Amino acid sequence: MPPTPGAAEPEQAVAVALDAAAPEEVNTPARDVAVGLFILAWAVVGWISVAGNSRLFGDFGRDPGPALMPVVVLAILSAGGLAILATAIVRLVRGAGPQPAERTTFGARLRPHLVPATLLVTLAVYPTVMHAIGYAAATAVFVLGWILALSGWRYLPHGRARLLAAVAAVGATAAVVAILYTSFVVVIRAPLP
Amino acid sequence: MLDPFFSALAAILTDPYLLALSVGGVVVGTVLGALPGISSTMALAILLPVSFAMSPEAAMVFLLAVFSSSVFGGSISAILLNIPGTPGAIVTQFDGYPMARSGRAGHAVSIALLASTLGGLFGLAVLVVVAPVIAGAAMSFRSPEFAMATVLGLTMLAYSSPGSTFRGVLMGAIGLLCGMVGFDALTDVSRFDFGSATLQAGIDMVPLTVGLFGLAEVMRNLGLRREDVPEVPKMGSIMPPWRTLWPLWKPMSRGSLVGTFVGAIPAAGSAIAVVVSYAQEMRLSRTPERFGKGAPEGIAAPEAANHACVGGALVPMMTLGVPGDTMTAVLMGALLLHGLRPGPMLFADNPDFVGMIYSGLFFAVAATLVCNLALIRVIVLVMRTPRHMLMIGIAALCVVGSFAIRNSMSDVYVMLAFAVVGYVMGLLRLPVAPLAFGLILGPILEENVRRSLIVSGGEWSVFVERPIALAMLLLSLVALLYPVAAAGIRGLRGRKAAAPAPAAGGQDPR
Repeated sequence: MPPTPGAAEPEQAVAVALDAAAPEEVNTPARDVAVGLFILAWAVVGWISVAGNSRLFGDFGRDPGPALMPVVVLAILSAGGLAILATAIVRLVRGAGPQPAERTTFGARLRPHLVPATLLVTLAVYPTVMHAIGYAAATAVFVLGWILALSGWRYLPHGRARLLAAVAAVGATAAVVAILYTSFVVVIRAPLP
Repeated sequence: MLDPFFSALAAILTDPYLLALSVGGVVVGTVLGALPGISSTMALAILLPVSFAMSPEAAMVFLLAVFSSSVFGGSISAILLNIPGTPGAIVTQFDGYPMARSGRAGHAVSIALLASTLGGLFGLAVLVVVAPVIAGAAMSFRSPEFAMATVLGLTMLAYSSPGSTFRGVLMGAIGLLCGMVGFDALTDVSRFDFGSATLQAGIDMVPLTVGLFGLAEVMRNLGLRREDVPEVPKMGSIMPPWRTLWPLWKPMSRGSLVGTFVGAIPAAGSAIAVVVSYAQEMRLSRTPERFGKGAPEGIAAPEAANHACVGGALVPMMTLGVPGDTMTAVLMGALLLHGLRPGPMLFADNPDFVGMIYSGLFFAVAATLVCNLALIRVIVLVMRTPRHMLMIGIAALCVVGSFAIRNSMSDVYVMLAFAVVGYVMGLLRLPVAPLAFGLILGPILEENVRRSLIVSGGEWSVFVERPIALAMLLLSLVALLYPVAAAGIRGLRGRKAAAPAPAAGGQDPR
């Protein structure tokens, strides 16, 4: 996005162009509620652990002890999380802030996260499979499967288009297996299963 | 001052292993930087595990090569695709893309490359000259100063991250919390372990960084709608004629100056440096109307500033242990991982290592120039690789890399957990960099705070009685309170401006 010609000051022209390139997003109250809860979740887990650990509060002489920093940091997190949550709830009740343009169903909102979540699950299984069938085979299966799935191979017409996509996927898989093998086994001599 | 630099440079040039690492790092860094969707930080993060098993010197040479070249790589996609590969390249596209569209893509890339090289060398020269001076001045630092330098670093990184500083600080606090997991270094009391032996060993920086900056980005990319690879314009001839290049020495020099000094201010970073330098060129130009339509100086100045920032940002990181941006924070993490703590003592205890950092950066800048002049057409070919193939390859790299650190599954699970954390934080528009930085700096902060309090007999005034510690504390407070104060002032002004509005509104014929 080029700067607007004719703007009074160069700084303004650049700022206008940058704004157009990346418009600033205003936080919705609903998202801020989630932000507050996200921060408080960390704080709650932290407080539970601190409360259950009596050794933290022993006598350490002149050392303020291992409880000092956790308590200070958890206090900051709790106060910050509560402040964000409270402000967001007030905004939500008042109906302030930008509203979502259109109402979407829960399923429609989850759909964009389906592929990332599936990737995560397969990645969690991938090292176990690596132990069972070896690095090269496991990586080949993982990479080839995902590339074919994401390339929309199933929807391609039979014949040349499918063949080309398959060849590209196999080529990319071979490249990934070889690059990772070279990086880890050859260069840094890390033992892979 | 220069002896360690030259001896380290000779060591790189005569050691085929270091030479190959640096050149390999440059090629990989340029390609990763040039690919839209992969930032310099992500490039550094996903390659951290590869550097883990290397010697500290080799790791630094490799990571500096990746860092330095990915900064330039970001400009290739800005010029060819109108998508900045890295934040510092955001201005390069204003004039780079119009130049590429008019059939001069090769010229635009070459101008960017030459400016980038000059800027990189200038930034390095300032680093070499200024860093020992600052490190010398910081030799009087004791625990209170180091503690406050860490607080300053955290606040500055929160300030520079997208979104509000307040939220950045809270993310830093989560990072500090993660850094406290496991045995306390001073008392051997285990914290936040929930009875798990894995957590008692602590959360390692490498899997956390790979998860937060690597896999979380991959997940975000795959969640986006599939896009076709944008058409890469024809490169045309690579070298612009001398009459185009020669007048650019002035914008390049000005850009280098701006970049180095803005880069050296923690929290300012390359995105600000390039905007300042672009605006300055427009102001100084006799024909500002050419800007935005393919003016070579619109590429040269910001590009020089962008790469000069690398040297500038290394100044506070190496001398005070305060990284200027996310990339230097990851580099600092890599240093700590190898048992080297950046700060004045690094200069006193390890001058050879400091020399290795200088010469590693010098070689990286030089290799970026040579490799790109030779390989730019190949790099452009790689940019045509479909995005989903790259992302799946990077996902595999994240897992294999995390596993290879210690041959342990728990590192993989930590990486996956923080990928989820990073992904959720992305959805909530929360900055991830302060979290990683909190984890990296947490142990240093805690150790120095407690040591200060032990020495002072529990008196917290130790942090305000020492002038440098007080100055850094005040700077942190300014960074923290400035956005709040600025918003308050804007609100007041807005209210004043809005006060006569009803009358004006009443006269509105509509």
